[in-house]
Amino acid sequence: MKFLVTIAISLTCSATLAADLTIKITNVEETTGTIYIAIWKDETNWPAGEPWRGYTTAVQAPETNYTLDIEEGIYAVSVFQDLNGNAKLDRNAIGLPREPYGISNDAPARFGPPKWQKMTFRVGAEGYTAELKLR
Amino acid sequence: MNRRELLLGSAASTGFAALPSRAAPLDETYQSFHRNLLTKPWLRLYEGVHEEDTGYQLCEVEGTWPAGLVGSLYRNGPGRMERDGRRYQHWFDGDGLLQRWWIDGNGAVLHRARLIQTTKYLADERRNELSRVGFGTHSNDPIPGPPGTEGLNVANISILPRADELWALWEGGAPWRINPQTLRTTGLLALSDETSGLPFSAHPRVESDGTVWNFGYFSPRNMMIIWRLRPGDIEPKIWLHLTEPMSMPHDFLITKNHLVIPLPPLHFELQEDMTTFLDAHVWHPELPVQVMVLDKNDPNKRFNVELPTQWIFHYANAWEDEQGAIRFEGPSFDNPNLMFDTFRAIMRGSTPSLAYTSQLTRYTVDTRRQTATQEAIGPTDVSSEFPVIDQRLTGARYRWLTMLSQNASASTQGKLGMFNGVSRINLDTGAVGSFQYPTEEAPEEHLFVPKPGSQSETDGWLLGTSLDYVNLRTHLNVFELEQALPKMVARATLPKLMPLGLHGKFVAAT
Repeated sequence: MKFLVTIAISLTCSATLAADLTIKITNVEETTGTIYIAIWKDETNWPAGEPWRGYTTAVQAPETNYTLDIEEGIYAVSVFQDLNGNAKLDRNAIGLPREPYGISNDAPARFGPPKWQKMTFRVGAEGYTAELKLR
Repeated sequence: MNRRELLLGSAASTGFAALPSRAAPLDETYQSFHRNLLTKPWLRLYEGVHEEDTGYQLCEVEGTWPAGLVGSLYRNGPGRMERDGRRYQHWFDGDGLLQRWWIDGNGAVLHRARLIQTTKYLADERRNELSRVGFGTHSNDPIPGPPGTEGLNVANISILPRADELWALWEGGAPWRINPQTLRTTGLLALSDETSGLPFSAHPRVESDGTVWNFGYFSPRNMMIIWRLRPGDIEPKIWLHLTEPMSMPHDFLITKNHLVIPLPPLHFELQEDMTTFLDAHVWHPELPVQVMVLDKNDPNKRFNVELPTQWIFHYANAWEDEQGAIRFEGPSFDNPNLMFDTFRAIMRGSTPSLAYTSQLTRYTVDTRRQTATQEAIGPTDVSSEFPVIDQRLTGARYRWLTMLSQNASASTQGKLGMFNGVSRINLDTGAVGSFQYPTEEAPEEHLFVPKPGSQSETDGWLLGTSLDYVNLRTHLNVFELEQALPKMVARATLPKLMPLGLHGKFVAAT
């Protein structure tokens, strides 16, 4: 009985708090490989830890869209295009990306990883479209 | 005078300036520069070009051009300074302009200049707007540029000739590949996956066997990269050194056994409110220069020695004796204020308060005791920069050094970021010979070009450009060398003024 109540509460909550997050990835130059999407919810995990959720999607040029249900809240998104199918973002000898990548809010990464405050956005009840431009 | 008259006055001065095409307000640097340009002819040296490609133009030759001096002088430097009413705030931010002086061997000298089409340049071109961030340019309203170091890389410092192409070099990014005939930019250089996008700085050293050594640095990760490209190697070899705090090294040296990278105490100290890469650096006058000395046979092996606090842009050459003593020379400055003050002031059209005041200095590193010393050499009333040697002696014993010079009595030029002479110094005897340019001519780096078949570092010509900012002419000058004294024997004249540039290389015709 307790188990059923828990499920009922859980379903109720998700029904009331879920919203659409559309991830719109632009500047996709090649229809090659796979796009990896990382959703970040916890600043302490960014950028070296594990993202909150991870997804993959097929590549469509010049724009790839991916929509998911998500709880309302503050998030950040990072994506990369895996061109050679090795399931990771290739980097050069000092760790700078060699495959196209994008950060929510187009947060600048000129002198290191983008700052958390620059890349976060709020998903409200009406949903949110996060546009990420591949670099 | 209204704004339009002001702009027309500026445009008329060199024929290069373009009128802004939109109603948006001119930025403060642009307005200040063009207001000052009306009364300060020397500012024309820093006005910059707007034309992407000049095409080849025939120059007028005076004097007797030496028959054996055939080939191309390629020069690089900040070329495009402004776009649609906005102007870079630091001289080092100008988009790279590659120039070729082509001495064709049939008595003709031709000139062509073309802007280097970096990712940054093309992004700005598409928008017809400066991205407004750079090495020393800041905006409270920046336009996002390309990511990473490519957002700043303007490929504007120097040139490295390779087998069938040129590499246009900047300090903090990868080289841009250039066609040596058309000067067309063909792409960003990526020699291997591992080294793709790594900084390759602007003063590589080439050994007599063709091996290229260089360093690069990436300050946010305190990472120093050592590069070696041997003839025949498919991929370059690199070594990484964590170097904390990171400095802003501009040049380095090689000997038969070692690599020497002096690190002046200008430290990268990233702040939240950092405005530009330059302003992320703090000068520490209380700290010494840390000199990294690396084993050339195993660049993982390293020790540091210290030199007194100073700033140095360029070194002439280094060599190592049998006792393990490394000697090298270069013009020493008390601090890097020129970079923070003068090279910004001239972009606003202000007359800077600082002059070039350097002292040619000899440095000695004892690799066995791991100590370093220095002594002033050469005249004390002459400032110098752009030291060059007979490049065949890179890393080996040498006796002659050529440099741009400026007498203390002519310090006005120094304040304006200019020199007024070219000097040769015999490092063994101290003998100095100089050629003084007229006051309205600003010389640029002069190179030693060996005569065909010569073996001696005195058996050659000096080849260098000078900019007549009053009569709007650019000259390519040739000097014969009689002992230390350079004697001008011919010059080719381009009937327009090019911007004051930085470094070049001569490629002899084969």
